[in-house]
Amino acid sequence: MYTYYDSGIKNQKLTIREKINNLSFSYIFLICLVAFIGTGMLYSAANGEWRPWALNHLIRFFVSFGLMLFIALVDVRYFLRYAYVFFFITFVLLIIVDVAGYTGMGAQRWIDLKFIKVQPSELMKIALILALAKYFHNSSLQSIESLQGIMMPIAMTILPVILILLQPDLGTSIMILVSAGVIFFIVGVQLWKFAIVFLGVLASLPIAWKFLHEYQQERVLTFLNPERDPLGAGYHIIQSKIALGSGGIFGKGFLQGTQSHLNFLPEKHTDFIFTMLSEEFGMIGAVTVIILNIIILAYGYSFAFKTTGYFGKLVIIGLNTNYFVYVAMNTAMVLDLIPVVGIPLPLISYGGTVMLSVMASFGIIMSVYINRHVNIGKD
Amino acid sequence: MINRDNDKGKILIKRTLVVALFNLFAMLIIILRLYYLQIYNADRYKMLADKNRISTRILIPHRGIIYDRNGIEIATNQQNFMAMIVGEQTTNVDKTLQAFNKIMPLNESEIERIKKDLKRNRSFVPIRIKDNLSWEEVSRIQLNSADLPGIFIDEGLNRYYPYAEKTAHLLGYVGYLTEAEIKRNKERTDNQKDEDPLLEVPEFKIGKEGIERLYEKKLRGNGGNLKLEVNAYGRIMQEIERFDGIPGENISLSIDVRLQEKAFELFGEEAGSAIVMNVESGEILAFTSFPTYDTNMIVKGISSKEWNELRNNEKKPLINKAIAGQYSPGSTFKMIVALAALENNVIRKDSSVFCSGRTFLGSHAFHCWKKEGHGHTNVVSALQHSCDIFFYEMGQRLGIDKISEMSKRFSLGSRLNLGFSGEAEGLIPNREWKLKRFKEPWQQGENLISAIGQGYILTTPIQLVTMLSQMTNGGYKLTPTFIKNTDSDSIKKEKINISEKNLEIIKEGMFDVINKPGGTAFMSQFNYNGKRMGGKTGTTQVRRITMKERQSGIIKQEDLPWKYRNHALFIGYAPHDTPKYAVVVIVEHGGSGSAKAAPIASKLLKETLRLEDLDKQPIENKE
Repeated sequence: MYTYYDSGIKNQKLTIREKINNLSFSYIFLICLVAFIGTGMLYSAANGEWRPWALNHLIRFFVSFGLMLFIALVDVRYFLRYAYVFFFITFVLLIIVDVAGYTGMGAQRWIDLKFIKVQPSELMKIALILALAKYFHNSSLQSIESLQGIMMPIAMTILPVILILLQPDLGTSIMILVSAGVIFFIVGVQLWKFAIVFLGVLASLPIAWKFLHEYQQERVLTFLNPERDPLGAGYHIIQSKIALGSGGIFGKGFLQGTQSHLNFLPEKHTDFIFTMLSEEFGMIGAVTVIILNIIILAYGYSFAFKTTGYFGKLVIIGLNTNYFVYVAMNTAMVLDLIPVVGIPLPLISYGGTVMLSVMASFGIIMSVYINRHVNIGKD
Repeated sequence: MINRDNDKGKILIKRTLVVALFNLFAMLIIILRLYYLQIYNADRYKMLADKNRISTRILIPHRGIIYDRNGIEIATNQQNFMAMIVGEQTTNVDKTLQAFNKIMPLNESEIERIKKDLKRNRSFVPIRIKDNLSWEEVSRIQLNSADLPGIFIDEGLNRYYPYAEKTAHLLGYVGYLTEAEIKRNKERTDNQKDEDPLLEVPEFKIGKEGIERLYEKKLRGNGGNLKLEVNAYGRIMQEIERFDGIPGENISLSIDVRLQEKAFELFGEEAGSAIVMNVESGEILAFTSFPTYDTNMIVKGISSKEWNELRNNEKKPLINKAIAGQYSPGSTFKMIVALAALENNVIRKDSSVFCSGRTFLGSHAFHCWKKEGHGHTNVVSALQHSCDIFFYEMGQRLGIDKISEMSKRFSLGSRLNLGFSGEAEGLIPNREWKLKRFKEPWQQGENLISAIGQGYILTTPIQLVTMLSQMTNGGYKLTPTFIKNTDSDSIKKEKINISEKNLEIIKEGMFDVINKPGGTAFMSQFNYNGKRMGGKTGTTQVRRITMKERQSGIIKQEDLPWKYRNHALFIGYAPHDTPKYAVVVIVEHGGSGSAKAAPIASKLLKETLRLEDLDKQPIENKE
């Protein structure tokens, strides 16, 4: 038997009005700003047309924005209470998608609910963070530092990652591993354990290489030397660098990107939208977007520090890290710093699922921040 | 158990700071990378982006027009209307082509080529269906454009020769570069290497023969530039820059196209060559080789069947006989021998040789063409009657080396370097040459047959007319040219070391050939406003006359198969008193010089004189 509010000094339930007063409007403004930049870029990607992308993007943003506000107003304790349930359901959905893929329906990553295609792997990013936060929220430091104390969270991480790798979706797998790794790190898992895992991974790389799909091997090889196949696999990244570099400091101007508009740049509305932005607005535009994202991340960390509860801190840092990984991996990828892994730039790239999941994450972060003084007991 | 919840919180804060700093650090790396690409390497990438975006095309300039001496266009550029099809603009290529076929029949291979081209190129690239459309065809296509989606008319320029076959060997023609030509040019290291980027343009046509080839660089002009913006698929988005290039220079030739026509008319079905030259300037007024071919057909593209027919024709229409045809000069060589004899003081003007119809060298008999003989002959009458016995005697007295030396003074035996491809050298033998060539000493008998222009001796028509021009212009060296001479005083006059008196003797002989009864070309004389011509016939065997034939009576030329008949030669000049024009006519297997070549040459010379008069008249009287 347990009660929710056993040890709290402040076990109050906030009213809607109090919650709204506690919203960080500058945070919301920043999110809107980045999303509007995205809309503008999608308008340009369609050669100055609202269709097919810009308008959709805006509509999706407003829908997701509603969802974000709705989530923000949810009591943080619900997240704690249903973290495992949510995780379990998402896990089952992942299995369903994988099995469907094997039974001849082709490689699919989503479940079609007619009005929206749900990507369980995208949900898993949030579900795992909530579940891990709940687990470590309930663990003592001794347990965290012990080996058997982290067996369960390791399993909770590895199993979905394996399922996602089977889809195959290397990008999402890496993102989940990085976010989970960061949570393991901040809760206090000893560094030597990370070192062992790191060495283990290094040792098993040659084996892992064999398990990679040919196109994934291609991508890694192409990353190591884009010029090895300038018309094939390396074409995208070479053209991306040409587009970026030719943008210079000030860029070629809105709707004036030659590489983008003459179709030399592939996937300019999704994964390579940052390239297009950098071509049209130059380094000034690119750095502006990076700085906006740094500020959004900084807000997240400040929310985490202002939050008293351990669960809330973990949730914010986990989701913040998830957002960081999106931004960092996408930009690093188009800048030819890492192999092309197919990760969009959140709020800017065209794509419904990512928009929904990122906005939901912001909603959860805000919810935690609104309830920052609520003292949550162990569950 | 110690409650370490406090430590748990502290570790979280400490490590979160580390993570946050790492985030910041990663973002800084991204910014540094942006700096590296967008500022440090910006120029390089800007260049690469332009290279992606801009497609430069070379525009073919207008080729220079070629005029004859009177300003008549003999090679020009003509609008070439082409029917083109754009694959993506028609829903069904087969249906569209079928509709086109109804308007203008296409053969199987054409349809196959069009489909292959459509498949090979992107769907927005226009493919040529048919070119060289007439006005009537163009309007028919435009009238039916509703049934021909994706088909449009494009314009280009084609080389056009208004006088076609009448100027074929003179002008040559233009054509696409062959793989071999491109390769040969690439491998060149000398200054002849053509580095013009136009050569890379697939539609560019280069001068292949004749004047077109000789003055290629002048006629060609400089290619223009068209900068186009293209997208990643090569579709043209817009024109960025256009420079039309510099048209080729026009050229005025020394040729009188009316003489070309006259020669064409006079030759009819015969094979051979005729050249008319100005003996003072070396300007060539007529330059022909027969049979000829239609250069316009070649420019438009002829089938390999038609090409093979031209190649395998026994009259060899593709050979430029004026410069590449090598013939024994026969009796037209006798002036050289006569000059050598006079110059070497072997004879005087009145030295006499008796012709009995034959002469012996040891036991071997040498015959005169006239069985019954010419009786007493001197150099003038020997030329007039073309007496062989007289020249056998000269050959014997002179020896080959002196004859050879005189030949070379009059430009025989070496190329005149007109610049045309295939110009032959001819052959003027001497003792040294024979020893080297056959490892055998020169035979005495060979002096005799060389003296009547047979044996090893070979000459080209252009050499013969140059030789005669130099004999009749007072003994000045000539360089034959195709270019109209606008300033006759500028001609550099270099004298051939020869006595003018002896040249007059030769001329007297040549005058008698035409104008004195018994002359071998007496039938071909004319008197045009008091202007007469002089000249010399030649008939050369292409096969030996056997002893048996000589005894049983020589078979009539007309009864022999064409290729065994004698070549007919004539070289002449006019007016006799102040020679201005020289002519050479060679009728291959024409039978006899006096019967076949002399009449043509006579008419040609007379026409030359008539045209000269015509052009001198004031314009208003010309009508």
